[in-house]
Amino acid sequence: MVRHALAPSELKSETRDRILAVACALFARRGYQGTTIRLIAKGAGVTDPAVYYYFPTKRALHDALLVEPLIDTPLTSTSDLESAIATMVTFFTGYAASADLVRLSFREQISSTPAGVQFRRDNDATYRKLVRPFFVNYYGDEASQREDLVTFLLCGLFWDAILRYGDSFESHVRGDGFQQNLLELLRSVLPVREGHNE
Amino acid sequence: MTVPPPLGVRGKDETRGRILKAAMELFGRDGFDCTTIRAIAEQCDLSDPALYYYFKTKRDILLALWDLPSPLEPMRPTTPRNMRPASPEFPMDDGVLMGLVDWMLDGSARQDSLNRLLFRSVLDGDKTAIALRETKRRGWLSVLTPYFASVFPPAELAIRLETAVMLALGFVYTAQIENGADFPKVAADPAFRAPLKQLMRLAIPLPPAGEH
Repeated sequence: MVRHALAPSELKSETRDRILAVACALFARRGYQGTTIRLIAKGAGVTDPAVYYYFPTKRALHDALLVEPLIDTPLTSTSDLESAIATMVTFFTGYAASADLVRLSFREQISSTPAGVQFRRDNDATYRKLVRPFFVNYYGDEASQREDLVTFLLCGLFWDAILRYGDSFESHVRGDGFQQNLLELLRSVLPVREGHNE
Repeated sequence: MTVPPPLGVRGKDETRGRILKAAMELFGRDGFDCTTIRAIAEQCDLSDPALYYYFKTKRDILLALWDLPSPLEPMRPTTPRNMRPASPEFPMDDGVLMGLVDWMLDGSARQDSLNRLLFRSVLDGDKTAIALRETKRRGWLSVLTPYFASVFPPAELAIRLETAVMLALGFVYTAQIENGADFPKVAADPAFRAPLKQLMRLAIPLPPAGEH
């Protein structure tokens, strides 16, 4: 994928980070069309030219938000089913914490824009790299099917929650009812393997 | 310029189709909440009364676009075409479960562009879109429930249903994102459907025939 090579000074800029944070919240609420550079500049407390100094176009600013995958904490390899399930719940809830980015990226993804498609692939690859050792270790021959099953199930649940809960998405996902349901769903598709001590 | 409703079934169908097409365009441009019946009538060169001949409310137009039964609530349980209605004498077997997967994929493919429009409108906070999306979700569940209830005990029913629906949604949304406008064509291919069917068998283990 195309990543902008950034000069070290730009990477460290606090102003740039602030512009990105404000833009993320605005794009998530108002969509791409409904957000202007002027609104972003106002929100970040800078002038329009200051925004253009960091990002040549609105599209460049928007797509810069989609470059970093949502999670990057590695799952410590485990052969214990319950702790693997607990880690997957933590991943899922961690994604939900970036509610604005989640809405913004879903908007792009469902329109199949190049940035949206790439964002999904990057996150899918990151997630699979983190969970694969557990599946291979625990399910052996069945590993890749179980991994696909859990991946699609969690994607469906995640996208469904975005569409159903709107602005209260994050608090719903953190709620006890949702968390309990998530655990039950994972247990229903991740059976205990004989020969593994629980 | 007012065009009276044309006579004859074909003329009626043609006008009805024209209204739905115009409504789609306006919903896409202005959102569901902000589109008026009058604007739709103007867009397809009909008078308000002529349009009312076909659709009484904006909600009726939305329902027609999505092939949803009217009135909106309660959702009338429907049976996918070519499938035997669910009953305790004929518990869901592999063929029925695969038929339900096909039914979900067929609907997603047929309504691909509508669904994308619906999702964008939901993200915009459009109240009509949010209600409609919830109706569609409950629609899937209401079709699946009697089949699943024919094999799973009440204590297991909810989690089995949710597993099946979320798995299908995750698979479909992923393919919609990856394939863009080609999704309906891609989804018609049996080779595309096979992996979801395999995963569904793994996720929803059916009891051996004769045991229930």
